[in-house]
Amino acid sequence: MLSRVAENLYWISRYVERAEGLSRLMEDAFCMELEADTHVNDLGPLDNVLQMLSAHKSFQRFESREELSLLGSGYSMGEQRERVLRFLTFDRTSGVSIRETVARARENARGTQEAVSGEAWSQLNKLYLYLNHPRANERFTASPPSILHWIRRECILFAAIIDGTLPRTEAYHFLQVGRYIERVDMLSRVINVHCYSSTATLTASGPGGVEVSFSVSHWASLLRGTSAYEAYLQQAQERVDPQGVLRYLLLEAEFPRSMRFAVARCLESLRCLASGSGHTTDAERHLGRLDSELHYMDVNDLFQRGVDHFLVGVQDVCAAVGRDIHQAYFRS
Amino acid sequence: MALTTCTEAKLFRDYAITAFDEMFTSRDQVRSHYKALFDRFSQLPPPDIERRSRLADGMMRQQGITFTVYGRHSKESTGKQTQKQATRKSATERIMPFDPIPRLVPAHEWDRIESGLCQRVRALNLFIHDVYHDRHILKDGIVPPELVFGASGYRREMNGIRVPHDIYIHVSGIDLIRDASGEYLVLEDNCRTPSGVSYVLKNREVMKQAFPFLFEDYSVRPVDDYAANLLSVLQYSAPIGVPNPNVVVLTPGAFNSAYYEHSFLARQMGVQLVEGRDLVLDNGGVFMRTTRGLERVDVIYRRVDDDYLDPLCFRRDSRLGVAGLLGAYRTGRLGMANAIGPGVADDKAIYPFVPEMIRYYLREDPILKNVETYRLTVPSQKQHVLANLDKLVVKAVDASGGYGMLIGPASTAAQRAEFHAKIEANPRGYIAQPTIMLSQSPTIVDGGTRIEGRHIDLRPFVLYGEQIRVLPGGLTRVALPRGSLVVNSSQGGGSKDTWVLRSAAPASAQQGAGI
Repeated sequence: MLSRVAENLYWISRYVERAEGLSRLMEDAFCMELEADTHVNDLGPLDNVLQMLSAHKSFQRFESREELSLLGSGYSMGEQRERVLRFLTFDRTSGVSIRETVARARENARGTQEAVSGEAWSQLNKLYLYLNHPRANERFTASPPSILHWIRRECILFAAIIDGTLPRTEAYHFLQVGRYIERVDMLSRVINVHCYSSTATLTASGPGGVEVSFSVSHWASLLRGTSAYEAYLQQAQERVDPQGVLRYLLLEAEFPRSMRFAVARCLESLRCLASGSGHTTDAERHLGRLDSELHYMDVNDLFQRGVDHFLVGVQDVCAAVGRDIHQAYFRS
Repeated sequence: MALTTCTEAKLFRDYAITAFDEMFTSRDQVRSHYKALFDRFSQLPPPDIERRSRLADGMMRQQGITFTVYGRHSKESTGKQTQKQATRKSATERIMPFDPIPRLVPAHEWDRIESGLCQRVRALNLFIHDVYHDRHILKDGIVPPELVFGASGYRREMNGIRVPHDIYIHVSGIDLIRDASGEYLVLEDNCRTPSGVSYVLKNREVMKQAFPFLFEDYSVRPVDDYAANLLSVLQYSAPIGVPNPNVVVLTPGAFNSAYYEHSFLARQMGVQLVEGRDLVLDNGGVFMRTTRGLERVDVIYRRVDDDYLDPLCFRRDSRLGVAGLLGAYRTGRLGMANAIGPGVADDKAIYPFVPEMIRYYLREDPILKNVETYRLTVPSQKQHVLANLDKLVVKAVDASGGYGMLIGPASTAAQRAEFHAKIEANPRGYIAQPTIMLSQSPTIVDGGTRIEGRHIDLRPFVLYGEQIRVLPGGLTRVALPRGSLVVNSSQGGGSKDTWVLRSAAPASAQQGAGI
């Protein structure tokens, strides 16, 4: 497979996965805010999304460009909420919005139509065209969750088409690597922001004791934002607490959106790629180490080490894996 | 059986016949092979047509069957939406408007076209070979040497170079039009990198989805074996002695106006689509950069112009090509389709000599005629042209896509003055032809509420490998604005599906033949 094409594939699925994750987070954040305490003038969950994307600055630029005053001055909560959501969905300049993310995926796919199936390409193209059509804006105005929900389903459909139509050759594995590395990356950011945002602080105090200030809805929201809520309840059958939720999202072997699962899949595809080309890469080494850590760690170890410390490590691994893949496959 | 008059059918109420009409012999009479189609469309309710047309457009758009238009074209835009985008950006992606009324070509007409095209392409190929080798045709005074060596497509680098099987034009598109009597004439030859074949295949696919019932009345020859035939032609163009040659399609990239086609053909043939930056020369051979290192390339189906292929030989500023490609080609390490230098045959100044070439090389009479053409390098003809600019069509010899031409009857005095000066300055650079009323074909206008005649042409595609094959039909392009004679997609043209009928006439059509 051409190196250029492989690189495109890797990015296509990273962007699609990102768009999907983003729409999920935003939908949940929006719903959370609808029930938020109206006396507190603070965009909790949506603010978290901005923070996760490191997009506060771009949002402010967006605001001032639109000749609107900065966040929090003279607007009702509802209006603020809508502007943040609109920015995250449609903004054209900062590179963080869903529309931009989808546009990049589509641009990569446009140069690689012959490597993904025609069906997969037209699915992505359809989503792109819709987001750029005035109808999308109308739908957003009518109900933000409805369009976010729709976007998420279209992204899932893309992944499903890939799963259902692509032979398990190099192309497929590059798509898988991109998809799962993005999932790991996103998850580490989401959890990080959730644990250390203003509404919940997670502290390890003394040996064995973990002190957490939390509200159930806060952690339930984290589960919903990663589509893990029902699965978690089925499995845990207990109240939603931080230890349980973090264990599930990071260490659960069977849940497809857990970190352990994603790392394992990513590693699997990396191995398939390497066995074809006959050399192992540093990416495998980095990811393999993370994989075994997730495999053998238990939730107490995690808190002992510090969740933030661990998550920063995960981010480093993701960055290193990205670099290694680039070295090994995209520049020959 | 009662006379079928156009006026009876509501959709056809404003139908005017201003040129040779594909469907009607007169307002009251439908050509026998169009009878069934006419009946169908007379009975279709307009909302149904509109709904189905939208379905067709939606399919095209969603699959990204678009071409890119550069520069500002605010006037010829076909829809409000696209117009908005066109003013915002300088390059826009458009779908080619699709007209659902197919163009029908009866078997006997097609047989003649097919043999005419085979004859013409064979002669053009012999001409190119001759130009780059012994130049008999120049020595015998059939074609003036200055026209050949002055052609912008002439490549001296190709002199004396043998190409596999002496084939230069593996893929060509010969544009045909019909004059007032309905005779098919050759308007121009495209021997370099003709595009449009993906529309032929996609139009058929869309047609089957959106208007499946229309196929019931006819026996239509399929077109979907094109990609397989193209692949075998490409394999045949490999350096002699290479078993299982590795074929790639070379595209200028995703921003090229025909990118969809490049990617579509690569996909249909199951070969890699590469850009210049994916290729590298190593030890005299051409390789592509893959995830598993370098992989050898034997044949390049290049959709990049000669000028951009190799910065060492041609344009130095080109980033689309591969340095040293020509060297690999000249030493026979690489097959290329089309060969380098076929532009010498489709230069418009050479075009008037093609009938003579056919007689010279093949000792046959041309089956398909040329359009009468004035050569501006001949003083008497130039005089005549300059005096009659308002009646003639003037074309730049090396331009295509409907750019750089003057249509006399539709021109302004200022435009004529401009061309007058251009011709005086560079008579070699232009040719002139009488304005021919292209044949017209019924076309849906005004969002499905009416059917009117619109001018069309036909670009059949010819593949030259072990044998010469013509794709049944080809791309029928429609000039959508009323009265317009310019069918190019870059100038607001649309397209139709083209149906070559099998020889046994369908039953319903035979009934209509009695009119």
